[in-house]
Amino acid sequence: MQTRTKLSYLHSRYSKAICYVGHRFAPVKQSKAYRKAVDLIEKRAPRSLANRILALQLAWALIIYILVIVALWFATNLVIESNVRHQGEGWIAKLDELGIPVYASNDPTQLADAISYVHNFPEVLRAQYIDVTGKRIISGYTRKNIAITDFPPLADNTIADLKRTDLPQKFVRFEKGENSQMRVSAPIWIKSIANDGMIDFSLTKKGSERVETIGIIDIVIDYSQISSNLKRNLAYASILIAVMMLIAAFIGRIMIRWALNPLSDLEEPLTRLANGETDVTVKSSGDKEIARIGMALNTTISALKERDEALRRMANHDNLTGLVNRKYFVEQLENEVNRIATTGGSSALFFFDLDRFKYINDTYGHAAGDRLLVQIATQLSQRIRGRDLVARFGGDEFTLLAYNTNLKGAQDIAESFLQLMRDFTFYEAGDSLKIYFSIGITIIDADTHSSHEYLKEADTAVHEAKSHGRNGYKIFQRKNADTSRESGTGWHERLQSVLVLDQVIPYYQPLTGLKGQSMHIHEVLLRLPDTDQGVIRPGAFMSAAERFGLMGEFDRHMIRKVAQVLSVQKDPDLIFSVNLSEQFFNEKNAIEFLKSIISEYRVSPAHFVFEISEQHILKNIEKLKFFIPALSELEFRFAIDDFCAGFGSLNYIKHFPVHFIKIDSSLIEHITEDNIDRITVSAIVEIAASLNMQTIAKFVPDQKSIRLLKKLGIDFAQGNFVGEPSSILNI
Amino acid sequence: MVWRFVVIFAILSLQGCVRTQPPHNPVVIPERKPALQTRIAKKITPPHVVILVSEDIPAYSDVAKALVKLLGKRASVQMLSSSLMDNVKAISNLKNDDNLQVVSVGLNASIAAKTLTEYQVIFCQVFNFQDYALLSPNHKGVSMMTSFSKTFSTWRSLSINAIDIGVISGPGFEEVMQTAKAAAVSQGFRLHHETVNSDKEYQYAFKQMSAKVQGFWIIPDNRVLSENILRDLMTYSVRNGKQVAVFSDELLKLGGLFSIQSNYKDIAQQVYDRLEQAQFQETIPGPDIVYLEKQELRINSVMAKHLDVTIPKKFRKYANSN
Repeated sequence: MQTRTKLSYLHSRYSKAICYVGHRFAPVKQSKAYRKAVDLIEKRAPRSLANRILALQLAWALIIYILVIVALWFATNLVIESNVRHQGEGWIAKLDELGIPVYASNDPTQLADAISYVHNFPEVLRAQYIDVTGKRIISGYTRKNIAITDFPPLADNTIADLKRTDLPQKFVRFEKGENSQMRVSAPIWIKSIANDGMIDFSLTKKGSERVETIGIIDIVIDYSQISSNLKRNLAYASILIAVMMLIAAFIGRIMIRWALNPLSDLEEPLTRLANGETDVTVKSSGDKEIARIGMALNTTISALKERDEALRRMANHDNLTGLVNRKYFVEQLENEVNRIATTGGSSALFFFDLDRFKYINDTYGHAAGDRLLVQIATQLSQRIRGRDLVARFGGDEFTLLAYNTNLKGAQDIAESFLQLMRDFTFYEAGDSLKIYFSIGITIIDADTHSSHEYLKEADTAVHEAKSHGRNGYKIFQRKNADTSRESGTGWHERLQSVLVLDQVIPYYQPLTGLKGQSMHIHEVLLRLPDTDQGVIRPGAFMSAAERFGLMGEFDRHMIRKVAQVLSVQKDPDLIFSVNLSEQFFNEKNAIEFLKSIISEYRVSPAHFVFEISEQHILKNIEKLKFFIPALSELEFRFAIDDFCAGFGSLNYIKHFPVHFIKIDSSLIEHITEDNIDRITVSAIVEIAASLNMQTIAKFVPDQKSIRLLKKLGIDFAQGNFVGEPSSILNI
Repeated sequence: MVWRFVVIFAILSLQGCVRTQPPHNPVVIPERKPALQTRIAKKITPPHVVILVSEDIPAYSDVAKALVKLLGKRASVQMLSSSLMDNVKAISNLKNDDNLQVVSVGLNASIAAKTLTEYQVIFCQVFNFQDYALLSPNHKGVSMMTSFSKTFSTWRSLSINAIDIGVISGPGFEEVMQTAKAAAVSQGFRLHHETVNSDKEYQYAFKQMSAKVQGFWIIPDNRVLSENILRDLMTYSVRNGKQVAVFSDELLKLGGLFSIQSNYKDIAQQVYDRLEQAQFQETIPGPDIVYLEKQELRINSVMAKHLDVTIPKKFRKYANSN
């Protein structure tokens, strides 16, 4: 129990200590320097070149410094040892000289006088005269109470070595001890000329002397004082060298920085360049190397500028028309909205929707559509005021931001554009086509709307313009806006609302069999409920639905509606032809959806004919190569819609197991008068028959045409003359 | 028996030779045996002289040649070697000759000749004869050194002012130095003598003595001289302005003032004279050592100038510029 209490107490103290330390260091951790240090460590901020060179220099200098100090240390030690040896030999020589009376007289006073010589030299700890047998004659110490334990009495073999006289020089023995002590021993030699040496005396005669060892001098030298002085001096020298190196490093840093200044000058323009600025010029003068780098960088910057400009243009402009694109337009719109919110004033936002674009596209093909868009863009660009901004907003939609424009000005602009279009004729394939706008306008004033809301307003206005007859403009009325917004008007909300509330309205248009067929085919057409109890045709919302990615969902709703009808109507000859959008068959689970519908409503796939426009087939040929056969196996049937509306090859139809060919209205409308149309339709019928396909003629205008089509072998006729679309299914 | 006695005596003699401390007392020479006296009495013709030469070097062989010239057919030369035993063996045959005198030239020959106790032996070219106990009534010698009187007389001629002269020798020279001192005094010098045992003591004594002398007389005592010491002494003397009388021309090169060397013809003449005096005598008459009468003088004119010594006209022919 006690132990547990102690542990608890310790834990409490420990926790408190940690808290205390954490608390004390909190200000430090919050400091800029601490954060900078942490950033430096964690982010591994790149080092500067000057610092790197300096670090390299310092590393080398440090290595050299260490080597120098070590070398100095060893060299000085060697010098000291050498000097001590040399000094030792000197003292030995002096003692040798002084020792002569010792050996000559054996007089104790002489001995004392001789040995007292060493008292002048505190480095000599002990000196002693030894006779040739190794027996000490006298010894002298320079310091009191000193015990020399490192150097025991000379061994016999050592004495024998020292006594040797057959050497050219005296054998001086050095013995190094601990604590910077050294023992030096040397023999005392006397020499005499040989017995007959005085006869024919010559100083150059070799080997004419006799040598005799009469004693040994043994001294112990303590050079610790010298060593400690050396260490101290070496330490001072090291510090001095280190300080000098630091000064040199400091000066070196300044010099390196000075030398690298041209490089540092590159830092600012390069940083700006790295931040995306291309309006940068690098200095290309000065040092040759730097100038070269500068020139290379300037060349690179020029290339970057060009590429940047191209990218910016690609990013902000529409490739086809050359007008600014939706993204850029919205940015500029936001800027204008913000400007007006800040400084006041007003501008106008125009939304243009081409009235017959789908027709042109479907009839004359995409290339014709594209040409139309280009010409419209040119017309708009030429008509706008200098500062105004016109954009291709998407598909056949254009937008215009008219700066500093009020309601009256906007109306004038709208009128001028309508007049423009009235004067404009689109020539395609030998045809002269009149193209009109529907224009939606909203006034940007000091309201608190966002750019998105202004776009919705203009979109709503263009929708209203379309619904009130084309070739007109509509100014969004802010007073109705609240209601509008509350009811979710605006195409996106509106289409979403239709889907959520399942308000899709199927209209059925019958097809008449020209060969007495028993089957009853109805094309199911999509309509949306309108606010004034009417319906909205696809032309009004199709592009918006496609733009918002909702067409696939509309197709699902339509298929589900048809399945519901089929589940009720048990007519085995009843067939519904449903248009499939590009978005539908590009959905991953399209086939699974159709299977689930068949399963859910217990209807046969044979009651379904899916119409896919020739244009979509050609565009998605690879996808449909899988999609159509997969569903055909389930007994769903397919029709090629708007066949021969464009420039599509007839060759592709043999690759798809389609069952019907719906000949485009452009071939049917004037068939009674146009031989080429007649011949073309005849050829199509022939090809279809050979491929076991049935043909449907669209937009049949009259009875004369029906007779001709029957004669040509057309299987079914469709058009308002045959039967108008109706929300009621008439079988 | 006789042969064994000779060998034992030679060995004992050799032991005496290597003693470092020379005897302080003169060697006791045993009295002649009656048989020897009878043999000498029978002599009627001049004895044959055997000249024992230590080594074939000019200093010895020239003396031997000069002696042969003086003695004529009476003389024969026997060249010895450095081996004492070989030398003793070589001269043992001489003991068969009753009418014989012996001359030993050089130390080795003189040591070997010590065994010839029955014969008169005159040794020469030996300096430290005391160390080897070469002297006996029947064994006497001719000194290597010239007459002390002539030496100091020459010195006085060169240096009028010099008074105190120092001389250092090994042991055993006390009596010789007494003679030398007397000769010095006769020329107005005071001779200071120190006895030393080694070259280093010599050096020490030299420098100790330097304060009180104006000149040094370096005698050729090989026992206490070494080359280094000689160089040191000569250098020291030159630095301290000391006049130095040396025994060899070699030392003049190192700063000696003058050198006095012996003349081999003079040596041969002195030996011859002693042999002649000793003929038909039981012992060799005269002093143990006779000094040379002639000398070969050399004067270092450079040192003379350095020491402010005026070379007398009569000596100028001996001056050189060593």
